[in-house]
Amino acid sequence: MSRWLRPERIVNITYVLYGEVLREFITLRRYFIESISGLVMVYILFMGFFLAGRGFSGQIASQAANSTDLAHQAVGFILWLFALNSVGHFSSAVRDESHIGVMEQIALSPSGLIVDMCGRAIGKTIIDCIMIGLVLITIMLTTGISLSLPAFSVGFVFVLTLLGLYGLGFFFGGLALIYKRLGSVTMVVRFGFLILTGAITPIENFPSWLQLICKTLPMTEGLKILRLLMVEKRPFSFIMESGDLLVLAVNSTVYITVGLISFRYLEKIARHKGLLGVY
Amino acid sequence: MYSIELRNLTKEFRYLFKKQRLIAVEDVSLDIKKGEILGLLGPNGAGKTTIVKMICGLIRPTCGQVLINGQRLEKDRSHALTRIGAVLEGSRNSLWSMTVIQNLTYFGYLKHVHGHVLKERCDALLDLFQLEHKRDDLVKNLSKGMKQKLAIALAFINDPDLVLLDEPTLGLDVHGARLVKECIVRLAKQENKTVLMTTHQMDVVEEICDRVAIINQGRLIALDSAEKLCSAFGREYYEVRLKGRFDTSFLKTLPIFRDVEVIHSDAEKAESLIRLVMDREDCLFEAIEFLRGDGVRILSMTKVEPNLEDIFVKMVEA
Repeated sequence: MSRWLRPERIVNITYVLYGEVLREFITLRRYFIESISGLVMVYILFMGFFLAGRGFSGQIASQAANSTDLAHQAVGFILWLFALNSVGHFSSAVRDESHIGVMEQIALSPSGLIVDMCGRAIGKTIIDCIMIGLVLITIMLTTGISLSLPAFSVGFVFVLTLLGLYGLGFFFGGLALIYKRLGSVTMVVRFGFLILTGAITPIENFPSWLQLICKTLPMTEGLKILRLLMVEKRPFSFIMESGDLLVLAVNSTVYITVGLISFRYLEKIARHKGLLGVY
Repeated sequence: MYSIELRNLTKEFRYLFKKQRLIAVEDVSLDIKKGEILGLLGPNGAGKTTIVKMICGLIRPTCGQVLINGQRLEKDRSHALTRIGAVLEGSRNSLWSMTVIQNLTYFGYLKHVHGHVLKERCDALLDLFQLEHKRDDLVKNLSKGMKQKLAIALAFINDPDLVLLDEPTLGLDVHGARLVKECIVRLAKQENKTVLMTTHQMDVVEEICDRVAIINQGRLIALDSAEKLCSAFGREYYEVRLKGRFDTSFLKTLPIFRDVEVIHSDAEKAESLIRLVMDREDCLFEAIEFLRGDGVRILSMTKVEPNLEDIFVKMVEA
């Protein structure tokens, strides 16, 4: 039996994951006011788009002209919020922990940094689901849009999309082990996602070469499918038959695989250069 | 079997754009027995922390090997880490936004300790490091000494066989330092844990370490017990307070004095303090008679035993 599949190892890894989830919740509770004000800010930002759509001219305005378009935007905006957190979560964790001095202590975990980061991803996703879910409900109540939420299909597509996003997160996390401060780089990528994945504006309006790039980004295909499921209320079988799910699966697998491999490689370089934990 | 074996350990850092290289550790070989406390001494930048980080796998050696309980670290780092505890950043080793017990629980999970074993370890460590009354306090509200004690407690959360402590008593008050020293000795001698500690505090090393390794410019320049190092490399001397200013040049030519040095000269009081290193111990009276014969008034004479600090300074300067 592979040493990774030994029962005691699985139990140990489960506790590492549990420890990280616990820590995410403790941090949330400790900085609750900040988290809540972040949500309010996010809601105001969305409503800004919404009101801009109602009151001003431009592309966003034409998009938000009816409820379906607004629903499209709401789904795009919500998924982008998840992308915002998942892409930069590891790199900011590495930077902060190197700064405060616990990075090396965490790197001494026998399970390794990747397992530890996976624990954080799970904890962060659970918290994001609760917090961003609250934003979504508020948006639905205040704008009158209705969204379908078939738990299995939406959950499945959502997790698959997040895998790809965390793949990118692992890549930036690995870079942060060496370069530490990548805040502005990840910010460019994260805000680029708002435009380039079709979250607020359709990518069909872009030149064909840019469309090609946009389609390879980890959020684009997931967002397209989620809109079909939640806004246009298409059945899951339709998604399966169209081949979109396969494209998403391949895309996410590539991103998470490349992300994990690059993280491991960059961690090795950091150990070689003695940079792990050095700020 | 040795708890730690370092075999020709070398670490070289290369700076890509500067075309420079720095040899932080060069060909260091040493063994540490189970239950032994080894003090790693060296000036700043000597390579002590790099050695400690290579032992726990945070830095990969350029060449050479680290063996933990006879097993190569690189072969199964994950298993080795279950047996290692380390304090690398002193009081910064814990999460300040969490409470003491939350820190112990979190790092316990990270190091594969859980269930009732974790609860028992937490209680035992809180008791051992006298942190029980601070159990639910946020770490950021603790004093520096308490943070340091918590950092050491965290290193012991997985009940390791091998503990690596980088400056464990740094910044502690007398009481805190004593407690930490007692805990280290108790864990090493009663629970047979191996301790490798780096420090600049020679008194701590003399007091609790079984052996001392002195590192300078990445090289191991001495390895023995503090006592043996003192007797091998040190020589007792006398500090003599004399009336009047004193010219040592003549004394230096006499065969009974190995070395004569004016430590201090006070023109107002017309006193001098000189250091006399005798060639042989039985030369003392001969020296006194010589000084008195030369008309020198001796006010006091104190025998000074060499300590580790003297040896350390001497070796590093050499």
